[in-house]
This record gives sequence, C-alpha cells and structure tokens, in this order.
Amino acid sequence: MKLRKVRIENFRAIKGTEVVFADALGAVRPVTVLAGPNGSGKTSVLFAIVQALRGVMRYRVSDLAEPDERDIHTPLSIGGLSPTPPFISVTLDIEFGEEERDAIRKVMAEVSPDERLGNLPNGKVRAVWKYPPERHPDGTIRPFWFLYRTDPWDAVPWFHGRQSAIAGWTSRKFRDRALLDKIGGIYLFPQDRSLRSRVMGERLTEDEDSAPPADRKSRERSSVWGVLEYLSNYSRSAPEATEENWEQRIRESFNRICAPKEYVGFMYRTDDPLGAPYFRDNGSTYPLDMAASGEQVIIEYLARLTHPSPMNHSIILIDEPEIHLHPAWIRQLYLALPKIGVGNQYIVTTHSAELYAAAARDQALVEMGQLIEKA
Amino acid sequence: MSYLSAYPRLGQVALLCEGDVIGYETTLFQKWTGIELGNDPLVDIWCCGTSSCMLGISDAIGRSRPIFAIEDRDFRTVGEARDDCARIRNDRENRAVKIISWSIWNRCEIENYLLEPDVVLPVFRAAFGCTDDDIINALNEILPALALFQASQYVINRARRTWLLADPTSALLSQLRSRPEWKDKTIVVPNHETFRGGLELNCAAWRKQAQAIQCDAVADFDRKFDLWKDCHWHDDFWRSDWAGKEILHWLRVIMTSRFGWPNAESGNREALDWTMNREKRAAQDRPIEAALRPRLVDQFLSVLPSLAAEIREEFEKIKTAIKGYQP
Repeated sequence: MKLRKVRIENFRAIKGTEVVFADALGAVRPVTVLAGPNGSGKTSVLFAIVQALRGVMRYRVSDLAEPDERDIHTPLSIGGLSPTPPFISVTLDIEFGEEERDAIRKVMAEVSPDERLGNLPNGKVRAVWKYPPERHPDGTIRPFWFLYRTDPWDAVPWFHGRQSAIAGWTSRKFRDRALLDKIGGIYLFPQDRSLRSRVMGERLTEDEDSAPPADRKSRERSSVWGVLEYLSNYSRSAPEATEENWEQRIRESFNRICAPKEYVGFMYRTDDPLGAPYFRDNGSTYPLDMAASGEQVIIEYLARLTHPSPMNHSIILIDEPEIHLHPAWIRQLYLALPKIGVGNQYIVTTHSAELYAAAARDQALVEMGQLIEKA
Repeated sequence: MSYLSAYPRLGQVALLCEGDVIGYETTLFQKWTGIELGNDPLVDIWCCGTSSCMLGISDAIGRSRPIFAIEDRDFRTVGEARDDCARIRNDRENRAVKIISWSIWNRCEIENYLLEPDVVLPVFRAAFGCTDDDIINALNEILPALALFQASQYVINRARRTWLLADPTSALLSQLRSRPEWKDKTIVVPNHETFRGGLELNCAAWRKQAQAIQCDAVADFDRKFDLWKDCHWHDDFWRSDWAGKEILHWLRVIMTSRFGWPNAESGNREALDWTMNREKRAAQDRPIEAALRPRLVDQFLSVLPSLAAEIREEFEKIKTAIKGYQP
C-alpha cells in the first residue's frame, strides 16, 4: 500500500495541513523527508497517520499512546470559548497495488472467508479518521480506532490484509510465502527515547528486574536482541533457502550503511554460551549491548523491517533518524532505505542538514515551515 | 591542526564539480560516491557553479582536504582540456593545495551521459507514457534544429581560447540568434544565412579594432555546421560533443507539448504551450527538469555497469584515484 496524500486537522501542533507524498509526475516517492523547525508538526504528521490506521490495520504499537483530549489542537480564543468543539480529522488517500490486491484476495479467502472484500477500483481508498470517536444513537461510543468513513464505503477489510496474512501463515492456513511478502503494513520508528528497552528488551540483572520470569522472556523475545537470535536460528535451519537468509540480508545492509563497522551475526563463544549479536570494528568484536547507540539504531531498523515477516509494500515512518547517527551514516541510510524491502514507502522527519540536502536533490523534501517565517 | 579542523564538512575528500546544489552532478556524485566508496573515504561534493569558481573554492579549502576536481570539457578537445587541467593543477600545487586530480568529463557536459539510449529512453517513456519511437522522433527533430546553435557555441568556445582579454560572446554574437524558437507547436531553426552573414560582419568589425586577434570564427562555424547539420539519433558525435543540457531542454519542450505534463492543482495531464520568451520558458521548465532529474540520475546509476566501456572506465578512474590517494 502507498499513502499518496494526508490531510490533517486539529491534531497536536497542527491546525490544518496537507502533505503530498507523490512527485510532480504523480508517482508516490519511495522516501519523503519532512523537515521544519521544532513544533512545526513533523512528528504530528507521523503520529496522525499511525493513529488513523493503527486500528483498521490491527497494528499494535506500544511506542505511541492512544489518542486523548490533549491531542486535539485547541486554538487560542477569547476565554477559551468556541462555537463548536474542535475534533481531530485525518484524511488519507491510500492505494493498494494490483499485485498486493491479488495477494490480499487470496489470503482473505484462506484466512477469513466470511469477510467480504468490497470493490476497489484502481486500488484507491480514501479513509477518514476522527477523534473523539462518534457517539451511537444509544449513547455508546465507538472505539477510538474505528475509521469514521471510507470511500468506497466497504473498503475496510482491505486494510486487514497484512495481519491476516501473518496470522494465516503462522497457523499454516496457507503455504505460499510469496503472498505474505506482497502485502504491506505500517510501522513506526519513534524518536529514540527508549532505545535500550527496545533493543535489549531491558536485559536487567535478576536482582534489578521485578517482572515475572514469563513476562521477562516475552519481552526479551520481542527485543531486537531476541529478533536477531531468532533470525539467526531461522537462517541456520533453512540454509538452502538463501533468499530467506535474513541474517545475511541484515548483515549486508548494516555493512553498507555503517562501514567500516560490520555486523557479524548472532554468535556463541566459549565465554558467552548463551550467545549474542556481535559486531566487528577494526579487528575487535563486541556484543550488541556494547555497541554504540548509532549501531543499535541501524540494527533495530533492519531487524524490525525483517521480523515477524519482511516488510514490503509498507508505509514505514521514521522520526528523526539522525539521533545517535554520524552524518555519514545518515547519508548512507538515505541511500539504503529504498533498497530495504520491496516497494516500501518511507516517511522520515528530520533536522539533519545532510538528510535535508539529499532529499532536496531528489525532490523528496516537504518543508513544513521556516525557522523564521517571512513577514 | 586547527586549519584542518576548520574544514566545514565531514568528508576526507572534497570533490569539486560544476553545476548547482541540486544539479545533475551533485545529485549523481552524492549517490555514486555513497554506493561506490561508502564511507571509505567519505567524499563531500562541492558544486561550484562554474569552472572558474572551482579555482577559487579549491584555493579556499584545498589545504585542509585533498581535492578531486572535474570540469566540463565543453567544446575543447580532450587534449586541450587535459593541458588546461595540468596547468591548473600545477598552479594549485605550487601553492600547497592538495590535488588528487584536476580532470574533465570526456564528454561535453554531465548531461551528455544521460542521453545514452538506456538512460533517456526508459525515463522519458515512463514519464510521458509514450513509445521509444516517439522519443527518438522528437530527438530527430531537435538534433538538426540545434546544429546551428551548437556550432555557434563551438565558435564562442574556440574564440575564448585565443581572445584572452575579452569575452568574445558580445562581440561575435551581437544581434545574432542561434537558438531555435518554439512556434505553432514546432521547433523553428534560425536562418542559417542570416546568422552566418551576421557572424561575418561581427568578425570584420572586431578585426578592425583588434588587429592582433586571429579571427577564424566564420571558418570554424562553417566547418562544424557542415559536419553537424544533418545530425540524427543514430550518430554518435552529438552525445559526446554537443552541449547536452540544451538537447535535454528541447526534449522536455517537445514531449510536454505533445504528451502533456500533470497540472500541479488537478493532477490532470495537459499539453504545455512554450510560445513565450526565454525567461518564462526557463521558469516553466524548472519544475519539469527538477522532476525528471532524479529519475535520469537514478536510471544512469542503475545501468552504469552495463554502459559502454569508455563510460564505465571514466567512473572507475575517478573511484581508483580517490581511493588510492596517498598524501
């Protein structure tokens, strides 16, 4: 799926704005960079997209709280009075590619045969999300994640494709792995406020960690560390399927972006029998917990875009990737993004001059205001 | 040490080229160095606008970082341009500016490389929803129509090599028009006889004032025009010896007038009218060029490994020189 345009009203820093993700020839850009001063609404654009789609796409995101009243942009007015209470409105113009639609049809037929896929001429859907959610005539309130409206009206099941595909694949309802690779999803990489917990799964010592052992295990499994361990084992168990050697693919991408540093892979050593993801630089090797935060950021991107299934044809939102990254790595990341996955659409916010210039050269920059507005 | 640290960018090497900050060269080199060299060494691209500005910038930064400079060849022969480069390099090195190489494109300009069939055809085909034949036919209209302009530019470039004390453009091309025009949806070539007669008169007038200058402009023009006037898609010389920028401009003019361009408001494709003065035409062309530029550059980089050996070798030489530089 591709996001062609989003119109946002009354959300956080945004009173009203429209962002177009297509170029002058109408093609949706593989990478769009949103730049602007602090408070211009860059991050709000990413959050608005996620809030609007998280429910309908069944995307579980722990890094973004559910919306509440504070997210509603409240204009200054005399005495705070307004004739109509403001509400958030997010309108998204989304397109599903032909191949993706075929794959969704096949998956839904296997996984949710009762769910009817409506007609989708040209694969185009306009989806509108509003907050606070609608109140039913009986006084009950819809869940916040319900879409307010779609055009065509019966387009909602198309958004269930990826989660249905993952569920169907996991429960072996279909065996054609290629279907899974053709259906897009959405993923948010937030600003780096909880890097350690996401990467390491908060690998605290037994004494420090008060969580029950079962929770601790599940947290570790979903961390980047856990994902890299899983992918390494998966690659070892299926060496003949070279295109599914995810560890190798992560290694290649990491080495391209972070050279001369290298990601070696998940390794076991005599002094570390439990194993760890290892990196190499200048002849020395070190595990993930000793890696620089920039290395952890890059390996997190690569791991999350690969597991639980490789993200293709997806909308990937990255908030200020430059935090922790040397500008040279930012340049390399910008070049590498379109090559990570197939047909992905990356929407990236930034304050980085490097990223700003690279995107401007590619006509991929959306400027959301100047530091000093012209009079 | 403080001098070295004062270099305002991150790279270990400064690559100087012509063009502007979102020009073809900057876009192409930023991506190409990223792909081919990665961070080892990290290369900064300095777009200097013109070759003469490259001299000033090399003086300003060249004692803090080694410089790889690449100029347009323009209408010089490869031998002439290489001699010029050797002289410039020598000058800089005598002033402790660190030079990896001061070189030229083997073709007239960077845009000439984008006129390779494997680059220009797929990009324009996708952008305009047309066939290869539509693009080739358009170029077959443009090329003979541009022969006079290209010959006039050749003359000016030749004159610049000998007229050291003045810019010959205003003297030689005064009141003369060599660029084609756009009228009634077609490309209109300036009259050859009018141009040639005017050039002869201008030459004669200038000769009276500056006896010392050997002015062969008319002979130079005749020779090149005769050689180039029947230029066709299947010829090779125009891709290397003509100003590629002008060819791409006229290709955009013809294609947008015939196959349309998406309207910024409605998104609907509309045929563009180019009957306007040069400034307005340039303004209308700017966003179109901006939209096509990254596509041409990306396409060039994707097919570079399969392009002619001479092109691959040119890029390979740049890479080898930068990677192998030992201060």
